Amino acid sequence: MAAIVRYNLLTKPQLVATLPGSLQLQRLQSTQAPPAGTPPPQTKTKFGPLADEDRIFTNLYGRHDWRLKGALKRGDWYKTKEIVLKGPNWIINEIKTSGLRGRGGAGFPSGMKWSFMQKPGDGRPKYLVVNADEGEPGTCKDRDIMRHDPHKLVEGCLIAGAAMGAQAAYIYIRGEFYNEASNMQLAIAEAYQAGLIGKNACGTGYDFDVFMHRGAGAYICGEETALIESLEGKQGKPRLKPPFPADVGVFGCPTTVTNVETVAVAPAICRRGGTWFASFGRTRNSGTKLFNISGHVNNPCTVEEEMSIPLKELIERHCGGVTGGWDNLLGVIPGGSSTPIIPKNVCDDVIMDFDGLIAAQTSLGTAAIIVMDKSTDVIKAIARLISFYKHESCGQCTPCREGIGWMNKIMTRFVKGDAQPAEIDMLWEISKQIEGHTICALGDGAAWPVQGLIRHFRPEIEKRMQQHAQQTKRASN
Amino acid sequence: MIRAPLVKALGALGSPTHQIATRTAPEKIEVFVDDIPVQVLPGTTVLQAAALVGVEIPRFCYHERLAVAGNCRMCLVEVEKSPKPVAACAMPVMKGWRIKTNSDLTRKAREGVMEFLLMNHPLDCPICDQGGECDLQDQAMAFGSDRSRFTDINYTGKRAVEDKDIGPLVKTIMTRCIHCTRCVRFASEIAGVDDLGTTGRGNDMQIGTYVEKLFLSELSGNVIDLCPVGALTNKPYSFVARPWEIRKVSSIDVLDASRFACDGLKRQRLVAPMVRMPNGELQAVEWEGALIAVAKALKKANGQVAGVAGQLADVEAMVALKDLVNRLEGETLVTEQGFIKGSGTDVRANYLLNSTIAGLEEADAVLLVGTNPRYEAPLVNTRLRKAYVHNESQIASIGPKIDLSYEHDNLGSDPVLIKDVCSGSHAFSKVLEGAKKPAIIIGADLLEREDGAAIHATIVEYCQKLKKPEWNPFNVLQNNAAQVGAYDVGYQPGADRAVKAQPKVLFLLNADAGKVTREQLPKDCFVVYIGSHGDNGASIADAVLPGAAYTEKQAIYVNTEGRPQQTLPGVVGTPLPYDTLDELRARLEDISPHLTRLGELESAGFNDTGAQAAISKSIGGGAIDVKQKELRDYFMTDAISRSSLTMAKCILAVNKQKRQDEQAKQSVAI
Repeated sequence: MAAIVRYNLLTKPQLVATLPGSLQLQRLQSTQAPPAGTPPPQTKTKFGPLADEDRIFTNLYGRHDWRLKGALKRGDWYKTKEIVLKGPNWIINEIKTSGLRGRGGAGFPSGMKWSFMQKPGDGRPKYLVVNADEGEPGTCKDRDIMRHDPHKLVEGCLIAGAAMGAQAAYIYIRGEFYNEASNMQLAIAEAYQAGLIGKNACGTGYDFDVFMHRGAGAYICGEETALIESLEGKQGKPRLKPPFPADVGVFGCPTTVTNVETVAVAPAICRRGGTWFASFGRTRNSGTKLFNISGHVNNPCTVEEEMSIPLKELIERHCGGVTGGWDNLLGVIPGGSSTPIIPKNVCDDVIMDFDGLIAAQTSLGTAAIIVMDKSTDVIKAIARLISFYKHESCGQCTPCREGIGWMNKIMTRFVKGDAQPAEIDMLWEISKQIEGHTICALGDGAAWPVQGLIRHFRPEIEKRMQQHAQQTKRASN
Repeated sequence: MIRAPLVKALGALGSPTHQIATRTAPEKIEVFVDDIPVQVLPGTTVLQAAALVGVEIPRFCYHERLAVAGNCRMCLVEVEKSPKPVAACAMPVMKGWRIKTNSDLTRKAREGVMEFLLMNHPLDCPICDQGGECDLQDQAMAFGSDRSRFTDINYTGKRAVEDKDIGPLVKTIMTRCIHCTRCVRFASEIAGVDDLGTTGRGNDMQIGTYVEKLFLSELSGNVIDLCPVGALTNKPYSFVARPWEIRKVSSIDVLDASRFACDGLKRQRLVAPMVRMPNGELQAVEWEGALIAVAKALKKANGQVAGVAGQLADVEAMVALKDLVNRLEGETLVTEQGFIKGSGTDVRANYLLNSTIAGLEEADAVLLVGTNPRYEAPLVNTRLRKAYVHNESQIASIGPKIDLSYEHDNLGSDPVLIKDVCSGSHAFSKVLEGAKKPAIIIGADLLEREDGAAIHATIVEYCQKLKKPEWNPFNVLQNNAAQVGAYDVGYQPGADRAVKAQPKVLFLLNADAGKVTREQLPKDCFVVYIGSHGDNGASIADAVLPGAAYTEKQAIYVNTEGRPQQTLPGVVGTPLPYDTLDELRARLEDISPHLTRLGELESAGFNDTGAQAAISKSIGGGAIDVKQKELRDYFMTDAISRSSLTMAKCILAVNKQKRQDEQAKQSVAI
């Protein structure tokens, strides 16, 4: 996550300066083609709706057979051998061309991340770890993949693993996902029996194992280094970085941790080409994406859509609109519980992609959209989220352990209005004291909802305080 | 049980920082700390780089000797061009970094962390034993805010945590804990017991022993010093004094047993000279009377005088006693602790820990013969453990099965094994012979046996084969403070020699181990006890001359590796008059010049041992045993600790824990 922040902060001349000399020369000459792995420029200006033939997850709703037979019918495992045999460079180049960015929340360019594993080996095995610990409140995309389309993930593991030269993949699945784990395990067993993975996977001569590991239900184990610790059998507490997992990961070996969705779309990208995937969404925000819409909509759902689709269109088209109509909308949490809330006037024309939501001072996160209509007590809603983060903080580092507990205490009083208006600024400062000062991003994720609330709903909090003050005054009279 | 992570084992193959750090002749990189340029090796952390230019970065969880945890976040500093402050203790520097240890961002980060730490910390400094030597207090003064914003103190209040009972030595006030995990890391990394850990999550996280039990370690007291706040304090010492009321004195011990046995210094003390009356009772008399009684006995003795030095006798006193006995034409001067038969103590290398305590860290193959260093010499054991964890050292033992806090092969307790190993026919011989720095450590108690000399000779001979330039693999682990000093000034080992001499007058200098009994001595033998505590020695004496304990006098002790160390008068009591002490030291220099060069280590030439090795006797006799097998054997080993209430409590606690464990096992079986 830190890496993407720094990458984003660079100005354009700085970015150019970081490129190797030969590339700069090419840029200057500019008549030549861009370097390999650059997504083609986007010419479209309107995004969405996604056509049915462009959907990757064709069994998202479980209407068809999820087992190997059904998966083969839907085109999974088609020419996987040929893809693997094309070699790591081809696969990574295709992923780079597709412009795929990590689907777990941070949005790091996947092609670049996978290429970190291509450094010359030192004898240690390499591992792919698939983060299936989908714990972010509001998010429910990975579980649908695993229970209705598990073979997409197994195939993705093989292709991503082959790209990295990994020996095995570990799928770390959230403990609460019992049925998903069960389906996943069956799919892995089917793939082994069919010779698709294991020794000489798909007849490529490449040995690749896939293991599934069930977690024990801690949100923090979704953080990549905490997940690695948990996988090693220790308490799930994030590690200090550096060293990054690409240097020292699971069992001390180079490791890449990626989200389920990122891995599961890799086979489709390789089969249909990176340029096909890059044709969706704005530049730097390419692809299709699973959106989870929950809350006050008529028809909550998980849907695959094109990136950069406007939020309003997404809700109206797939969810039957906000309950009571669009004008009844209070606000939306656009990317899972840790992203800042945006009010209706921002929702009116916000675009659902990484850059569009950053411009709106929030984040795409996992694209889990939580819709709140005007019946919502927004202070209580955010207080509930903070209570969740307080409960899920691992307790390792001070700002998160102490700070979130404190925020929770203040938020609980804000719900009643039992506080002074000056404490709103104090709460803002506390959230800033947590953000960026912790080992992992959980502290940031807890600070952001509070910041979003204060940024957009400050009058609401002040009104509540006034009411409470009047009530107590009346009571004491 | 942890070993260093795979990364360390792989060395150069680990992270990029490791990679650079271990490359031969690494090039130094330049970084700037507060605009002061400094050249550092790649892999240096921000905190270390700052220390090089004399800038101290505040910290709680970081400790030089422990693994980096990076969880207190107190050491956050600003680095130019980095959007977030970095944790100085863990972040390796990059070329050209500009570190700002006093910028607004840095100060704000520190103030924020400080505020969070104090938020749930009970501000009970006036009644806290850590007050005055508390890191949190000091750093709150230096870096904290001047007022509290914690308005919730009027609503829900602060966190409160139940105290844990982890034994009679360490008092816990867990509400004060700031979760730096230094104690947890100390226990698992240095002490080698995974008793301490964290339970719970977030604000509910607690440091503890998982289930209520004793913190079973011979080094448990050290967590008191490690704890940056008042969560772990000294139980026997609680509410006794304030840090600014006591004086700092350098001395020779840092272990649980001696550290907490200090209350034993006050109990069972001999305060007045005593003489045994005809009715058999010891009665307090004036110094004059006692000295006259001793003098009378000495006159009658006609040179049949002998002296026995105990485990706590200092070098000066032993020299004085030796001179006195020699002048009275007595020859028999021995120590209570035995050694090999024959003239084993003529050559210094024969009775020293030749590899040196610090040197054992580098040893890559170690054989322990009849010794349990964990309790006989815990500091030697931590070095061995360090060798095991960081150096992949292979360790084997001959003797009973014991828990050393690290993995080792127990080869068995049959003494014949020594012969097997030393003849090269045992599997472990290959390990020793293939090692770069092999070491064999023999327990001093083992050499007291009938076949001690044979064992000694066999091992010395084998060590001749194993030795390397600048490395002597032969080690004897002495477990008494007085032992090496006594041999150095010319005492013979073994109290039985004094008994054999059938003296008319016998001096017992701090000899409290009970190795000389009244029955063994002639009826008319006049026993004079000189020492500090009324223990075994005083009970058989005809005259008792009280002396100072080791904390009360300026005295020299020589440790097991042969390093002379000095204690200074600490608590109370009259030190010996200085002119006399100087004279005594001058005399000492005549006998063994190395002993007055305090702190320096005189290497005992190795080749000298060769001549001794020629006499080879057969090794036989019973199975090899060690005295201190378990933690409960560890607490009472000398006159002072036997008088200590705290040590008695320790043994009670260990026994109770053992009973509980057994009950638990039984109930599981049922």
